[in-house]
Amino acid sequence: MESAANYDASQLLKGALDLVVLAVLADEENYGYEVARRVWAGGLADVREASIYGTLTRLYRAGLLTSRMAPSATGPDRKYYGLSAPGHAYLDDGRKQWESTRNAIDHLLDPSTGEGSR
Amino acid sequence: MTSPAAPPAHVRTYLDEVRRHLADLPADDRAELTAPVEQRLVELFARGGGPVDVERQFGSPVQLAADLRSSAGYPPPAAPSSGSWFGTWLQRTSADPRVAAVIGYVSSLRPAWWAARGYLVLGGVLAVLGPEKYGLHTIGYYHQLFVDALPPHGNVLWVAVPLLAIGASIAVGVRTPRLPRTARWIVVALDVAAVVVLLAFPTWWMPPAGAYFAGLVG
Repeated sequence: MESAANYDASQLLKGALDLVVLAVLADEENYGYEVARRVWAGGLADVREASIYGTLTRLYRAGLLTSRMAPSATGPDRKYYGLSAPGHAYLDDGRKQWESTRNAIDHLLDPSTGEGSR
Repeated sequence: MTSPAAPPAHVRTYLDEVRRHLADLPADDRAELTAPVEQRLVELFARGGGPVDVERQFGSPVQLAADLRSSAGYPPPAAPSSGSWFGTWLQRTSADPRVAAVIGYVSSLRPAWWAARGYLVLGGVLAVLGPEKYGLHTIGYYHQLFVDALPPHGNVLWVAVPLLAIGASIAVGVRTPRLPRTARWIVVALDVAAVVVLLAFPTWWMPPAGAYFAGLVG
């Protein structure tokens, strides 16, 4: 009794989540839940809230984010994250790499639509 | 800034469970990871509008801890210090997301077990200490015990005492993760006692007719 395997998009997302989080924070600093809301509103509704929080912690440890505490009207102080200079550079580089990888994969998955690379 | 109210007991218990699953991380890292979750839960609670279903929001504590851990780039929990093959196997197996989902579901049923445990342990105590002639093989005898013991209030006690036992057991269940180690062993003993009662008196919960047809009472 075999069932057809479904493609597991979570693995695909794992690699892209760093860039997505950095992109959300590129223009203005924000706190964890608001970052999560923007990721969900952007169409990635399956990303778990906890994954956003863990990703923010890791990117901060890597020096790609800055952080500051700010009071909240409804609970404990919130930690606001923003992009550091290395974070901006990392995001720019990541965008370029994403574009070239996406073009290549688009072509490989559907050769009739893409122009192909090189 | 308003001073936030303390979150309700089930939220604190949930957070304690999450921290327990991250216990191998340095305290600062653990606090860093759980702070946004705590912040979010306090805000949800402060907003009001009904009880906060924590597990629906974040998944089971095991799952949440695993999500935080993997997305933050920490390794899976280290093998227990005993180094036993069983402990290692258990750690690896529970890190599997499918197993974690099953564990999460089973964990969500714990309040039902806490309620059953209270009822069973009370039944066991009465079976041991109660008059021989009742033996507590059926719920009908259980009823009779209270009716005979205190005639005017028998029915009230028949309902009130089991409800108290169930309530107490649930209260113990909610607080178990925060109890000291020795007290947690007592809770384990209660669990074992409840299972023993369930197995030793397989028909004590039956209505009298069921026990009669099962040939257990004449």
